[in-house]
Amino acid sequence: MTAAAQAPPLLQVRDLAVEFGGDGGVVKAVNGVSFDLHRGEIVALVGESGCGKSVTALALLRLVADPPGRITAGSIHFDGEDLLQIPLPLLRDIRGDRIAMIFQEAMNSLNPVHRIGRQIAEPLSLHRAMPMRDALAKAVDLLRSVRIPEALRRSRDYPHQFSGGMQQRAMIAMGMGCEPDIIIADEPTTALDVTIQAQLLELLQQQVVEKQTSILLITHNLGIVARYADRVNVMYAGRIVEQAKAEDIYDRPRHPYTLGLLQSVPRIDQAIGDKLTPIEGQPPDPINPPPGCPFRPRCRFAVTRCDEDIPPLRRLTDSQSIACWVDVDD
Amino acid sequence: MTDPSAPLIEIDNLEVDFEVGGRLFARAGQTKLRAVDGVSLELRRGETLGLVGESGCGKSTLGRTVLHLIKPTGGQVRFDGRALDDLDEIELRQLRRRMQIVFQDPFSSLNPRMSVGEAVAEPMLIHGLAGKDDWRPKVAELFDIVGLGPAMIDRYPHEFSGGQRQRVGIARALAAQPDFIVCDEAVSALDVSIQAQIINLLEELRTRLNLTYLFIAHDLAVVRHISDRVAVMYLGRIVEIAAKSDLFENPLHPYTEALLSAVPIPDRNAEINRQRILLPGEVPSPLSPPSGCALHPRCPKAMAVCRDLKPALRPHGEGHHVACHLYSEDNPGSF
Ligand SMILES: Nc1ncnc2c1ncn2[C@@H]1O[C@H](COP(=O)(O)OP(=O)(O)OP(=O)(O)O)[C@@H](O)[C@H]1O
Ligand SMILES: Nc1ncnc2c1ncn2[C@@H]1O[C@H](COP(=O)(O)OP(=O)(O)OP(=O)(O)O)[C@@H](O)[C@H]1O
Ligand SMILES: [Mg+2]
Ligand SMILES: [Mg+2]
Repeated sequence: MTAAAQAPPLLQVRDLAVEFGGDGGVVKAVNGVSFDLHRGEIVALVGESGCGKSVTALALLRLVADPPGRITAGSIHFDGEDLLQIPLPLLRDIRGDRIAMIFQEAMNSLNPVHRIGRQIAEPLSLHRAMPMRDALAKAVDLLRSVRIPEALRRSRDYPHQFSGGMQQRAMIAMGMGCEPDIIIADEPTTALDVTIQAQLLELLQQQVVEKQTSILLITHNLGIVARYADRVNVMYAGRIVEQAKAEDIYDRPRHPYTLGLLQSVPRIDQAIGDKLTPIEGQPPDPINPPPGCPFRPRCRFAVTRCDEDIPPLRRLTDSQSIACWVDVDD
Repeated sequence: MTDPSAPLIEIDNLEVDFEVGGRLFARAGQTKLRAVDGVSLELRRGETLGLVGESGCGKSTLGRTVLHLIKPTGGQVRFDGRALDDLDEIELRQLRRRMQIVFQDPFSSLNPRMSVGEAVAEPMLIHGLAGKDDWRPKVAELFDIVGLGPAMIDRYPHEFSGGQRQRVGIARALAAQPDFIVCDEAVSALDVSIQAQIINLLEELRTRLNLTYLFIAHDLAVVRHISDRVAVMYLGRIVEIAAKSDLFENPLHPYTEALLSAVPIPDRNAEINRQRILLPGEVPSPLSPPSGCALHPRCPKAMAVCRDLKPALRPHGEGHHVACHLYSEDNPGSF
């Protein structure tokens, strides 16, 4: 870990911004996001539904639907090149090969008219010039590794014949197939029960340890973050509001939103309470955000300054930063 | 009218088979996949029954079959005393208003060419709960309670994030003013804060309107929070069912034990110090289920009898049922 942290990051995202234009106005879905991903580490991206996690992930591979989406600013350096600048054919070679994406809604990203095995084999034959026969055999191995029983037989199923969690596992198999440098995993285990979830995350972790793969893990499950992530980025309304090592986030959350997030989780090791404590209120309207800090209307620590100025990300320690004028720890 | 103490839903020995495998295996004659294998359950009025179990064990299939969105291969479902397979199309449609589902996969359950507002209004229009001209305020109200702004009503499903779409699905189910809702991973795509809001909402609606839920979820902390009773499923069968506190404090079935030990806790220190029971071996296939108890090849406590004999679901303590030979009377090791 420490050695990796000193080397230049494998992926360096700076000031990324993505907008969606529509009749109702412009949605600023991602608004100046910066983070690093080092070789062999798992970095989590967490935050409220709609805060821009998936759009950030899609933007990394320029997969945001354009129109209505537009990447309006930023740079994404990968292995010395800016993915936002390189020609599309070069980017296509990288997609699925050196950087793989596990999409959030598996059913929606699998092709309904092709058999599962074939869909997993395709990138192998495309990027690895593997004969289709071998690629299909490898696809069956991959299905087995994500714990699909009777993988050979089930590789001939169509997506609708798989359960929600099986579809998600097929996506993970596809993502791991080419042994990429980076796996972007968008809620890869939401549809999975805890035992298979643990097995798959351990499988991904094994890739990290053995092959120095890097993983950007998008999840709303803070238990998973606690167990698997090295570092965490907390996002709110299109911005990163806290960046820290995983252990620090739990021991000492410093941004009011992170604190609220941790307090809303139902925990299996705690007494059964009457009610959960969600963060009151709603995220801001992304078309007409209020001035000042976007979390201001829901924040119990707010001071006057929060009404006027958007707080930039500032360093508290070597490994922890927050975008907040106050510090809940004080 | 109906007896309020009678169960709302009675599921009796339900079986569901699917055809799978493609032509190659059809010749081998093994294409029948039994997704639900003899499930019997009751849901009382106003109760939340949690349903958990390994991916692919048949939870969604069971949920859909309870609503007769899938026709059962065998067995029966009674809703409010009436057997669903006795009903004709019109009667079934009328009853459908009272039974709704929040689908696991929100995107594929929404029509891409319909604005999400229209999608939520649709059940109201079908069942005469709103008219063509006055659905808007009602939809806006539903949007508000699931935490979506009114500006979103005229947008299309692809413009939404995963969790936003899931909330559209919840609003749509509530729109029909049902008595019973199958929530199939209804909050799994939501971040914890919105998840907490929605769970609080579901609980509030339940008390206010005496709703009944079948709550399918893999997040055991959520299930523990929301359910009155919890059923655990393994390879198409219910292996344990009990009041929530019994199940979580005193799990009997080895599969339930393994399941509970695998739950991640959002606390680094608690997490690092925990013991987990990992089930070894392959997840069994419903195409060729193991003999006897389906768990026996992976079960740390398996005995000789488990290989040969399928354990029945039997009572073991007040309201607690378990399908495991460890607890059968003639097993010397039982207590
Ligand atoms: N194609 C689109 N057109 C218009 N708006 C969009 C589009 N895709 C996403 N958005 C908006 O961008 C914002 C960010 O969406 P995104 O999918 O990144 O959220 P997320 O953080 O992944 O949420 P979730 O946890 O619910 O998946 C949301 O407000 C969403 O409505
Ligand atoms: N339409 C179908 N055709 C063929 N097989 C199917 C079909 N639907 C489900 N199955 C199979 O039935 C079994 C049970 O699936 P089901 O979707 O009920 O599982 P589940 O418990 O909901 O899983 P998950 O937690 O992954 O959503 C699986 O093996 C699945 O592949
Ligand atoms: Mg998303
Ligand atoms: Mg399911």
